[in-house]
Amino acid sequence: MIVLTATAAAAGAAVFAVIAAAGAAFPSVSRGLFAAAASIALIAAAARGPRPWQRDAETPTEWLECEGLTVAVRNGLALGAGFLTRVGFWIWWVLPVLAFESGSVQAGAIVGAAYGAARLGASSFVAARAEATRSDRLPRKLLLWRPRATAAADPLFFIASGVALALAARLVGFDGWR
Amino acid sequence: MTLAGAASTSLVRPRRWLLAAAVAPGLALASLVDLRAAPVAVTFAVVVGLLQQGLP
Repeated sequence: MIVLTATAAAAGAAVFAVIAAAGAAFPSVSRGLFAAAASIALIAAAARGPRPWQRDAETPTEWLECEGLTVAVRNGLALGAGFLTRVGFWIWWVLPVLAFESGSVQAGAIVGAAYGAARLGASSFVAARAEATRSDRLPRKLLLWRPRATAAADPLFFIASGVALALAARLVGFDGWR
Repeated sequence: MTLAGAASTSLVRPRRWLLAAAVAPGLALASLVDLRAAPVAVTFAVVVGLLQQGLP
């Protein structure tokens, strides 16, 4: 579980650092225009339906035949990167937009590591607790919590997209809403 | 599409477009909070990671 969380954090850090580096390759005006276009596209797509753009993939069953450590590393890399498996909510897409806007490899890596560690760290904790207590109460509670997560994720997505849009406008040089 | 399907689509879509109005507080929030500041960005990333628990 430590390996799973650590590889997820590493994968998240690598992916978002690359996205931030891509942002840094552009002058701030172009970066802002790209980010604004991406934010508007995301808002428009999310306003049409709750199902986000995602790769409909689960852990390949053949991975489960590998050794425990290999499965942990592969799963950690796939889930920590985020986009390689289901993202579940539109809100995930705000993270790469913000990393791109930051244009800072260090900031991208920190945000990506936090994301990967939180995603897999929490799952690992739940799995470890279920195994230690020999009870599936916590995983079941988590499943019941999902509709609430769905209800919270969409408004949060639109608010965060508003923030991303404002940051993009600031990169372009527009600071009208201060 | 069935009548019920068409009705539910026309009910759901406007509701989502209304939800999109939440962009406005985000625009206002951007002038109060710098989401690029490390603690804010990290907290946001953690929230996203936690929301994804139990994804099928």
